[in-house]
Amino acid sequence: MSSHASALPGYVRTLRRTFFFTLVTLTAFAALAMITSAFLQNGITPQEIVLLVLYTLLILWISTSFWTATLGFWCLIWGGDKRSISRLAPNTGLMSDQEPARTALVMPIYNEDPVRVFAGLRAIYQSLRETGRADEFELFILSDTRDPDTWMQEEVNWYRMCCDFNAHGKIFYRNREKNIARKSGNIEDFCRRWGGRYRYMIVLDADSLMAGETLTKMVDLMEAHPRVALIQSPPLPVNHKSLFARILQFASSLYSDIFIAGINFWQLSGSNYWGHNAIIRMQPFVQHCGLPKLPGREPFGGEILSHDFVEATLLREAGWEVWLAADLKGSYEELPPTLIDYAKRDRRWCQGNLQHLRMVFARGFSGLSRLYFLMGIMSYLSSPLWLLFLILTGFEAYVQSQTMPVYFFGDNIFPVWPESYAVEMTTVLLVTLAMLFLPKFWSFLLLLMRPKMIKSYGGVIRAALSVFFESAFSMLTAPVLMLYQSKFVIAILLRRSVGWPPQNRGDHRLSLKEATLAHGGQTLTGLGAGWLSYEYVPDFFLWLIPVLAGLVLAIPVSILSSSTSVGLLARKLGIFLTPEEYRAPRVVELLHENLARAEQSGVQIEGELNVADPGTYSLHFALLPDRPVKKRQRHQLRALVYQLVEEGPETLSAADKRALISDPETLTRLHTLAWSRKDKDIPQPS
Amino acid sequence: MNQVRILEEMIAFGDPEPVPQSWSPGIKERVVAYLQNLGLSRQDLIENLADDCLNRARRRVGRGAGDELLKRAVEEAQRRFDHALARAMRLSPSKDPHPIAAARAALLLMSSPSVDDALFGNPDPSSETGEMLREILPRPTPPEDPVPMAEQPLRFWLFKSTHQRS
Repeated sequence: MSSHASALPGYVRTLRRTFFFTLVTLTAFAALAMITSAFLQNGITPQEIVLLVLYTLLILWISTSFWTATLGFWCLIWGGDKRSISRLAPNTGLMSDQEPARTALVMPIYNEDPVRVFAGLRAIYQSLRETGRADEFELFILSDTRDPDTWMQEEVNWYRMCCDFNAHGKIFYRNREKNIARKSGNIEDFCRRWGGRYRYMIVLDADSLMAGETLTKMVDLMEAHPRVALIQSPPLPVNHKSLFARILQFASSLYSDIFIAGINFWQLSGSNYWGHNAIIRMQPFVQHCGLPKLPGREPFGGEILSHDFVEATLLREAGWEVWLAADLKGSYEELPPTLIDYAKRDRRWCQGNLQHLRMVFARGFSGLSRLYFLMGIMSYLSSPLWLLFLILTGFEAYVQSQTMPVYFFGDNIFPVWPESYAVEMTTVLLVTLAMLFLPKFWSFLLLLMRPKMIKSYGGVIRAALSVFFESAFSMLTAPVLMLYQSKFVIAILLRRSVGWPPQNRGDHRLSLKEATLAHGGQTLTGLGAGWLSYEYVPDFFLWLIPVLAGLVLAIPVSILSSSTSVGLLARKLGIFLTPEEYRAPRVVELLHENLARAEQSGVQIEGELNVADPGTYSLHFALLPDRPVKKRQRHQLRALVYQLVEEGPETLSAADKRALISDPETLTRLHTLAWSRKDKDIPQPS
Repeated sequence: MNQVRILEEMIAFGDPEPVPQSWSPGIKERVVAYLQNLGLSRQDLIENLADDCLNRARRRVGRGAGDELLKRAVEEAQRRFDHALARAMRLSPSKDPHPIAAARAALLLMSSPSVDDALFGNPDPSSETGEMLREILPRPTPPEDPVPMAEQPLRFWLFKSTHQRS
């Protein structure tokens, strides 16, 4: 661990965490006391015990979220947290004799759209050059791409970027031969090979966008605090046009400030890593964050999928500080454009987070680290718990409706009226709803207290309408996501691995067929549950309407929200407007310019293997490692070439195609063949 | 267009070939298209070069083998291009295939003509032009500076630990 003293007194951490967890626990106890008193009136049944256990877990989860937001709100109305990393006094005395820091900007990519990836990278690099400190950074594109076409497109885009910025020897590209351990293995490979060259690395995601000033500020913060191993910047979603993504962008933009400030309030120097848009001190990372393969098979064994939480834990447990820079702006990412894409992303994250169940039982980890793992698990496990809670509540309501009240029993000569628990149960419901919706209200209140910001959200009325529509939309989509996540959790618990497919990041409108295939089951579930509750427990049906509406309307809501024209219409009307849309930050502006330029110049190369283009072929050849090929492999490659020529490229798998273009000799053979078949059209390279 | 002409002259460098005869339809067009894709633009030189490459290829394949003839001609065009680059870079085409490919990529993909001017401004390229070309060569990775990154053993209650052998 670092020999430097922490800039944060230890008692501050202890006091704040004690305060936070006391609030969470007391709130949960109060809600629990009310519901228990109602249950205890007539003696408690087994299903009521199960309901109590479920409610305890859920109310603890809601209460944690509520108090995080509330404390964040409290910090922000007083001008921000004095204990945030950017406001702590620097501790640079012992570092002044060091050489200037060299920072690697690393972007791991895997079969992503090269046009978007390089438009973003160019914007980041342009923004960095505008700070005048670009020489302190080197950019590394760490490709794990398997798709052969995308691989070659990445190379061409990389070389063109080097040429355009005259940055030969400053921007690097490498494609791993084997993508062992996915993203964490990709980063690890970089650290092992070039880790000694850099003091820091800033990890980006394929859709990350970071302003140059933010990058230099992060380096300055690391230089000022030698005990800090990792600073996470809070990324804001930007850049999408579909209604779904715009609603989520608005929600993140307006509500995330208080949550981020709240997280910083109680986590302080023991914060977490979100996997990208973060700066990492190289030395402790290579020393402590080599991730092992977990024993057993997927989904709980194998490679650690959600590596970020584990890496942050290993750094904290080694005595290093991990911070969330709550007040750091200029860090952006993109969101899935449709509800279905969002669910697909959830499916991957769900497996990664559930795998952390094992980490909860790791020996030697602190209670806080275990809590973080549990919180990650709960972010998905809460869905099946809510579902179970709803089913049991419905069942309980049915049992109650079938119970005939007995007014006279024993020696009583006067009737004994059944007691009503409506007050207790309504209070519990209202408290729960208040905890769910108050953070939205806090955020809106905070906006009203910042008059300069109101205009960038479309004014008070439009902002209020946006909050209202967003709340309605989140109520409609919550049951859909609940069913999706419940399905994922069950599938994973049944040991069905979900894989790690690349994300669909581009805007695209869903067809009726796609939406029906994805949501048909949910709609039928909604109709079935509606009929059952209306038929057998009519009183419960009324309470269930918000949940049922979300399920029954899943198909139209999903299609409508995937529409970019509706999203843009809403933007024109000033609904769901965010400050980043009202006035795009410089780096976002640069991204848009780069995307428009790429579209105009038709940089994207369509079609099959582009080995025909002499430039692309030559670049790919130059970048291939010069490895000897065994005789057997040479024969296999020749067989694949014959298959390609005689049966067509469609008969080859992506792995076959990759094998063909991974061998320099075969690559040259393919290039020559592409030009030596007079019965074919002349190749049209880019 | 000066640099293009010099590049064309460098590629054309070699033994004079006999005057070409007529080729099967489509074959010469293919070679011409390939040479155009290599950056050549002077039509008369392209025509001559295409005939040279085809004549040289003809010596190695039997009559009637159209595809094979075309393949050999394309290979000949590649060979001439690589030899021209190798002379400029002071490299050996047979021993340095990767640096030659890198130089070829730089020439074909780079949009700035100034470097081409510098490289092909002189029919007998000096070491300066070679150096200039080296500056724009694709440099995919910096020199490695490896650090050890040992796997962290994780021990668990209830679950098998990572350091245990199965």
